[in-house]
Amino acid sequence: MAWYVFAIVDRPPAERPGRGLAGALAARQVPGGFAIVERRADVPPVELGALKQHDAVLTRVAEAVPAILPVRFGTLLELEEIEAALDEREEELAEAFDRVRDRVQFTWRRPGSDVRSPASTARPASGKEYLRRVAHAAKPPPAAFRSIRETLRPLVAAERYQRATPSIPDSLYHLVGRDGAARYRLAARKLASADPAVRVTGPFPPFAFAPDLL
Amino acid sequence: MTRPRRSGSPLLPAIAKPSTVTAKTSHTTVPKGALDAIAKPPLPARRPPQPPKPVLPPKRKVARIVGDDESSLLDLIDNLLAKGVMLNADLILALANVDLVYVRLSALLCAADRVLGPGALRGRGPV
Repeated sequence: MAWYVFAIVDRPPAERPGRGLAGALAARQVPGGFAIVERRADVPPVELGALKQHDAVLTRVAEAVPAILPVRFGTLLELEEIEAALDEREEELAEAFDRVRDRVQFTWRRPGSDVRSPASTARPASGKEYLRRVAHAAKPPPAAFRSIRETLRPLVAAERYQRATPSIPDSLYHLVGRDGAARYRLAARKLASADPAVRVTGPFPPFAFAPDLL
Repeated sequence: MTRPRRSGSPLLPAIAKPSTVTAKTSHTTVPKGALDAIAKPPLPARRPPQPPKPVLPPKRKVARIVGDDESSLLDLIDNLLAKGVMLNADLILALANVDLVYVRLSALLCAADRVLGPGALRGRGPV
């Protein structure tokens, strides 16, 4: 049976990590860290119940370790494959751990933001159109996020902006230290109540700041 | 001598005599103001029907969103599926109950820009 991978962590949890989707979780040592895994024969179905369970496991593990890098949903590998994927990437892993250590993610969204039409995802017809799309995609966060960014800057360790897609609205991700999360939350409440066009959720494990590892 | 035809009752024949009934008058033996003491209080003026009050979001909505243990569906999808989904499958081609070919499929379903990144896409586009 293969291992279903939830995350790579810098240290194994002090206590037993508990249950995963169906069986017990384990922390297996891999190059650069520890993989939080569960024995499974198949990939869980992409349905709401499995997603919620997966999310709950990650949240629980994230609270028990200093740094966590969530892995793509549905990652089912043999231990040798995990080791091969992470081999000689210790530096990359260490940098990623340093970035997210003792930090949590908050997510700002602006529903109703401009979404690229499905037609624009087709292959560009000309170089001009391609460059226009690249420039459009590389735009900085919109003005609606300006006051949020300026007000919360002292509390934010890292920031990432994701333009709206057909499924996800404009999103701004903030990485915030655990010790500053309460202050961030207070400030975020004020900002969100002053501007009904934006919404904030969190804290989450640092999903938006984890590199693609496996 | 002919009487003038009254315009108010065109159906009456012209020869009908005018009514002797006097105009309606009020007549009572109860002294004025005697009923006021036992009279019911006047009903309040009826208000026009008000439209149903809109259901306002709870005041703690923002706080609830921020502090909620259970993330929204959008967050769930964004956090877990934004980087795509790994699909694994085992395929065995058999003939007459004899396994001939074993194929292990491992596929990643994901939007190209989430995997390749803007730099990689930039290098692939037409110039």
